[in-house]
Amino acid sequence: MTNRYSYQYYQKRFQSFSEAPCLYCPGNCITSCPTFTQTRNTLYSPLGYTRSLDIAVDKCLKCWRCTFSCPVEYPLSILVERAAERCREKCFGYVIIKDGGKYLVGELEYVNRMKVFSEKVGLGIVALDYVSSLENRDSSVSMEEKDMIGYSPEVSFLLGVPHYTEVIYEFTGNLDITIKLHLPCLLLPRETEILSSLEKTGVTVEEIVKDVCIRIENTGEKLKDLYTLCPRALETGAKLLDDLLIQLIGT
Amino acid sequence: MEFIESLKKKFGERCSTEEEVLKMYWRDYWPLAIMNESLGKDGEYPIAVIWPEYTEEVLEVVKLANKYGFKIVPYGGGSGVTGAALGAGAVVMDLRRMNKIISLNEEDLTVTVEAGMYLKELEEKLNREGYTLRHIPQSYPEAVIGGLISTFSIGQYSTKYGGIEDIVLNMEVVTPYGEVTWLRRNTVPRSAAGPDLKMLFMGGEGQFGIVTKAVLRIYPLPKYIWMNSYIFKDFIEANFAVRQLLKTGAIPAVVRIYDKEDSNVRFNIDGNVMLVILEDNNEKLHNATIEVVSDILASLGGEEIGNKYVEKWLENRFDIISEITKFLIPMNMWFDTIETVVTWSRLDKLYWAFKKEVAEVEGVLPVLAHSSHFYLNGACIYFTMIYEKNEEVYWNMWEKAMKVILDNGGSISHHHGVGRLKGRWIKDEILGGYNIIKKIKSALDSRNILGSGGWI
Ligand code: SF4
Ligand code: SF4
Repeated sequence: MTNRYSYQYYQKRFQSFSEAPCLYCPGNCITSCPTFTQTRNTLYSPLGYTRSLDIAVDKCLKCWRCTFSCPVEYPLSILVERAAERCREKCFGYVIIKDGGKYLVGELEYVNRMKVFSEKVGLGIVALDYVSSLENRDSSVSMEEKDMIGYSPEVSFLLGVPHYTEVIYEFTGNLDITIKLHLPCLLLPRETEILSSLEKTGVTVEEIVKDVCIRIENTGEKLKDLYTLCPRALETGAKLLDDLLIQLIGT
Repeated sequence: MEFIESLKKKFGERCSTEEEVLKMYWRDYWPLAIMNESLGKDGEYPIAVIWPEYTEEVLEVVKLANKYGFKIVPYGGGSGVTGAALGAGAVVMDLRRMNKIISLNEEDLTVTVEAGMYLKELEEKLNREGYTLRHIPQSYPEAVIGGLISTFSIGQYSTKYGGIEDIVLNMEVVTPYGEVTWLRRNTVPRSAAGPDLKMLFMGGEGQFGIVTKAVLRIYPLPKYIWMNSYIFKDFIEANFAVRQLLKTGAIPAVVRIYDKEDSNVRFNIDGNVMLVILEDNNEKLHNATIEVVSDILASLGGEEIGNKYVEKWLENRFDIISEITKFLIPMNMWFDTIETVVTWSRLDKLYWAFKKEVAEVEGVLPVLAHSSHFYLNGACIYFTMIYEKNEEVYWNMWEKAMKVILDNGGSISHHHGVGRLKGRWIKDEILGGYNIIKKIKSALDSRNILGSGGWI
C-alpha cells in the first residue's frame, strides 16, 4: 500500500493547514484544473473556490488534480467536501461478493463488471456500497487485513490500495497489444507504476492522455481511440480498458 | 450602464459582473495587493470581466471603449508582481480563452500562438514535438504569452537563450485607436524596415495596445545536459567568474549565484553557492564547454560540490507558496523581491550598498541576494525581502531600495516591469524618454482607454 496515494495521507495534510494556501498563491496548479481550463475564469479554479466556497460546492469536481500539482499538496477537495457537509451522513460498508485470496474491490454499481473481470483473473470480489464522498471512511470494518486491489480510481485512492492496472502483470500472461491510454485524475500520481505494470504484461502504451478529465470534457475526436480507467466516464461513451483486457486474457 | 448592457449582449456568459468574479480580478500578484487582501482590504473591483475568443472581439470592445469612454485592462495569468494589471473600475479583458497554437513551423523554428495561451501549456506541447521555448521564469505555471511580452519577461535560461525580446519575432496587436495589425507582413529573423515596433509592446503593460498573437522562436530540445554546483568564498568574485566564462564564449544555459545569506537559507551551506547548467545539442561542443567551464571556475576559486543542489533547485523552482505558508504567515511577516541589473564595474558597490542600507530600514530583515541572469556587460541581482506586514514599512523599503539602485548605477527593473509599484521612479531612470513615451501614449490612445494607468 502506498500511503502517499491514499486519501488518509491527504486527510492528515489537510489538518496541517489553518487556512487554504491558495489565498496567497499565484495558482501553480491552475492549468491542471478542468473547470478552469474549460472556462478560463479564475473563479472556477482553486483560487476562486477557496474564496467562494458556495460556488466550489457547486462546481468543483473534486478530481484532486490541483492537489497533485500543488507544491504543498493542498487537498482542496476535502475543504470543498466539508463545505458541502456531505461527509457527516455518508459513509460506506463492505459486502463480500465472492471469496478469494486477493480481492478486487469496487463500487456496488460496478459489481457486474467486476464479476466478469475477476472471473478471468481469479480474484475475490468486495463491493462498497457508497463512495461518492471520500470523507469519513468507516474504519470499524474488518477488511483492513484483506489483500485488496482497487477496481476504480476512487476506491484505490480512498483505501490507499493498488489500482488493478498496477498489479495486472501478476494475473495475466503476455497480452501483446498496443493502446492509447487515458489516465484519470485520481490515478495521475501513479503513472509510473501503471505504465511499468502494463508493460510487464505486454500492453504497450503508445500514447497517454492525462491532461483531460473526461467527466467534463466531451470525449470528441481527441479521445476516440482511447481506453480509460475511469468507469465514471462510461456515461460519456468512453471505452474502458478492463473491457479490452477481458477479451484478451486467456484467449 | 449602457456599455455593460452591450457587452453582455455581445459576450453572453463570457461577460460577468458577478461579485465573486470581480473579486478574482481586482489584482495581479503584486505582494502589496495580496498583503492588503489578506488583511481584509481588497482594492477597488473592476466593473466587469470579459473573455474574448477572437481578435475581432478584442477590436470590438476597444471600439466600444472609445465610444463610451470606459477603461480596459488586458489580463493574462495575473502573475505580474508590480500591480500593472489592477482592475479597479475597469473592464478586465481576460485573454485566456485565446489559447490556441496557430501553427508550428519546424523548418523556420517558429511557433505562432494566441496571446492568452499559458506558457506551461505551450511548452509542454512543444516538448512533445521535440522543441522548447526555453523561456522558463519562476511564473512558468501561471504566466501567459501576452503577459510575458507585456511585462518584458525573462526566464531562468536567459544567459544562453535570451529574454522575451529575443524570442518574439512578430506579433499581432489591437491598437487603442481601433485597428488590428501584424507588426510585419512577413515574419523575418531581423529587419531594418523602420524602428522595431515590437519593443513598444515589450514592457508596455497593456498601455499601447493589446497583443493578440505572437510568432515565437523555438529551439530543439537540448540532448546533452550537464549540471554542477560550486562554492565561492566571495559573492562578487563568483560573479566575475561568470564574466570570464562569457568572455571566453563558454555560455551556460543557467547560472545562479546565491550570496552567503541566501545560500544559508536555501541550501544550508556556509559560502556562496553557484549553480551551473550547460545545455547543448552537439556532443563535442558539449564536452568542450564542460571542460572550459570546469577549468575556469576552478581557477577562479570555485570549489565543486556536485549536482544535488542544482537538482534541489530544479525541483522547487516554481514553488512560492511553501515558504509563504510555512514561515511568513505564522511569523506575521511579508515578502517581496527587488531585481536590478548593473554593469560589472558597479556590481560590487551596488550589491554592498543594497545589502547594508535596505536592511537598515526599520521592519526589514537581513536581505538575501542572488544573481541569475548574466550578460557580457553585467548581471542581474535579485534581492529577496522579508519585512513586517505593514504598508509603511513596505514603502520605506522600496524608497530606499530604488534610491540605492539608481545612485549606484542600476536599473529599477530587470524583468518585473514597472506597474503601480515602480511608476514613481520611472522618470528618474529613463529621463526624457518618459516624455517620449507619454507623447506616444497620448497619440495612440487619446481617450486613455487602455491599461490600468500605472505610470503614464
Ligand atoms: S492548490 Fe496549491 S498550487 Fe493550487 S492554488 Fe492552492 S496552494 Fe496554489
Ligand atoms: S479538485 Fe479538480 S475541479 Fe476542483 S479545484 Fe481541484 S482541479 Fe479544479
